[in-house]
Amino acid sequence: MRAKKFLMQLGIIYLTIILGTISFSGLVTGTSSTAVAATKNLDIGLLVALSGFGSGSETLVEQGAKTAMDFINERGGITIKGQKYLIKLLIEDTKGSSEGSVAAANKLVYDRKVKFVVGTVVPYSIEAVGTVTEPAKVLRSNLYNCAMPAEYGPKTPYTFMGNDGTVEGNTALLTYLVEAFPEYKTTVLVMADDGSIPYLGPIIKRAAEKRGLSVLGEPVRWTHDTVDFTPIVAKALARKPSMLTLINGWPAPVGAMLKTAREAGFTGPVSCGHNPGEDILKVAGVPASTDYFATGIVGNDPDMPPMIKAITPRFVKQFGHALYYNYWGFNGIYVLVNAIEAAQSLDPTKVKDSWEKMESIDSIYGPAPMGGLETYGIRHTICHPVAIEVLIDGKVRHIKWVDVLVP
Amino acid sequence: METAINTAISALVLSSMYILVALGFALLLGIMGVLNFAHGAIYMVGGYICYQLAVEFGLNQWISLLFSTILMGAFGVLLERICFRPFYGDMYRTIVMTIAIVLTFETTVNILVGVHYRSLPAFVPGIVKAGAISLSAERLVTFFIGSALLLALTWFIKRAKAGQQMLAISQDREGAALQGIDVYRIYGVASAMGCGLAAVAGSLMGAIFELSPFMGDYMLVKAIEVVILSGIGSIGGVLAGGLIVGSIDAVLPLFGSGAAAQAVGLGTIIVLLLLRPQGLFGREVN
Repeated sequence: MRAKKFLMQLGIIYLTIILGTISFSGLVTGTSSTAVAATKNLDIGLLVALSGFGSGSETLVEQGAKTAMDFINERGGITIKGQKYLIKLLIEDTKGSSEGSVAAANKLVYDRKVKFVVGTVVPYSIEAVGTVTEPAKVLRSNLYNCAMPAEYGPKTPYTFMGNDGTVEGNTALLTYLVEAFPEYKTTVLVMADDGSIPYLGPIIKRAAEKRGLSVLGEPVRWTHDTVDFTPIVAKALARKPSMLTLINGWPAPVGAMLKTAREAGFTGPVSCGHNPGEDILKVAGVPASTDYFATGIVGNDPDMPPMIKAITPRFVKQFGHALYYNYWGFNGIYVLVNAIEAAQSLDPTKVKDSWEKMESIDSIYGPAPMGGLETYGIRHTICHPVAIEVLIDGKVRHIKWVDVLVP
Repeated sequence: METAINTAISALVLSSMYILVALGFALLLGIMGVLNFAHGAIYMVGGYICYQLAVEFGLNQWISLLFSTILMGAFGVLLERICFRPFYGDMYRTIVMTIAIVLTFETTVNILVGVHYRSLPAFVPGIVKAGAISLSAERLVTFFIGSALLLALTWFIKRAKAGQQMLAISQDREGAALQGIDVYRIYGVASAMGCGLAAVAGSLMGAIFELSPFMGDYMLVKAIEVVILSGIGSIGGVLAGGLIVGSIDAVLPLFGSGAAAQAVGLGTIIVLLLLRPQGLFGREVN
């Protein structure tokens, strides 16, 4: 009898738990489904090298893009014609190769049906992705370019720059260096031999000469799989320049060239757009890391614009760092989303048309006028202010912001 | 003049590193008949172990180098015992096994340590100046360490009992076994030496250049170039092959664009192989 009573009590407790759980989950599900009904998702593809060449920087781009998604969604997402949309990032690894980039882009465009894409960074990858996104009329916020028409130009009408490219970064640097070091009159351009030299070389040379700097000889070239930069740097220094202008490349080769130049006894300024001091320091080491000028963000500097001040602590909290390429990833998403919201449409063609008519777009660096028609043959470049920084005795210091309007 | 001297030093440093890695690769190929595609990955892991010990755990850098070498040497013994021994005589399976090791190592380092840029601090910091010539002390030291190891290895193979046994096995495995040589023990020694040498090279190069999970891919290609050029079964050949490949990589970019220099370098190797298909010092194989 006692056992029967005990079993009944146990049964009641069990039923209470089960019914309670069902009611609670129903409540939660109900709440959730109400929210889903109210808010839709906007899929944005992100193409980054999470493995292979370039992954050292592009994994940081991914971090930045994810933070941008959270940042925008926490503020309610975006509103298109009264409908709320939360950003949903669909990330694909380009594996740091052309074929990997095409495969990743195909997956995003044809399997996952995205209409908006952010990325990539390396020229061959940008070109490869364009072969998929352009015919499919998928709007792309590209994160870098080396001025090659196949990457970015009249033949890529659905590609906009979601960040400054080689031309903008180096133009800002040259503007600052000429102003800060009037005694240095000559430089040698050192460039990655990635097919961009015939396009990029003349633009940078013109920009340097326009600012009163003499460029000695043709650009010195290096390939992406170079390990020892001694002959490259020796070739550049043999022309006796007063400064060295490393046009492009990842922190690994740029840091190696800085280290080699200092070991060879070169004491003049060395500059490179888009290769911030914090990364260069890790490769070149403290003894070589002095008088290196770059475009880069020192997130905790008081001279930073409001958006950078707002997102820097988030990067630090989430990843333990706030690095240059984090900001790239964030800005790539941020400007694209701003363009979509400004167009009030999810049709990539309508967003493209609307973006082309915009005089300026909000970037995390501040207002960015649109430009690039004369330089690239297409007015899809966001000319945001560029931050200049210097590496002195192993310490990175923000110098100033330089406005660059690429014609 | 200073350009010429800097380039010559660079050629010697690169050559000594290529030779260290290629020797390990050649030992496994010549003695065990194993085409170890994981050799570059072992070079990379050796560099990372040294970095973690020296930079993350604050251990003396030279002791870190020693630990890295010992750890990778021990790994070499396990590699032979677990991954190679079941597949001797079956090159295809061994190749698949070594490719699996490459992917496992690269992915593991990628996940555990990340792909962010880093470089080991200089083993010997500073710059050596002689008149107008300015050279990095660590490059000079790297060259001397590489040369000392090469001399030691050459002595070991030509004079030590285990080295002689390696030579005997590389010439005739069954004959060597009939003479009482413990073939598997010697395989283990060769594998440990090969992996240890790769770890030394990875650590030294990680200080001069940079560390990345994929740095071994490039070095593997260089090791294969050196071994093919020198021919299988000759230490002297590996030395000569390493010097040629290192010099090509260090000197040719001075005279042309980077990509053209690479093409000329590989073209030179093709021409040499057309003239001597067995490599510069290799034996004819029927």
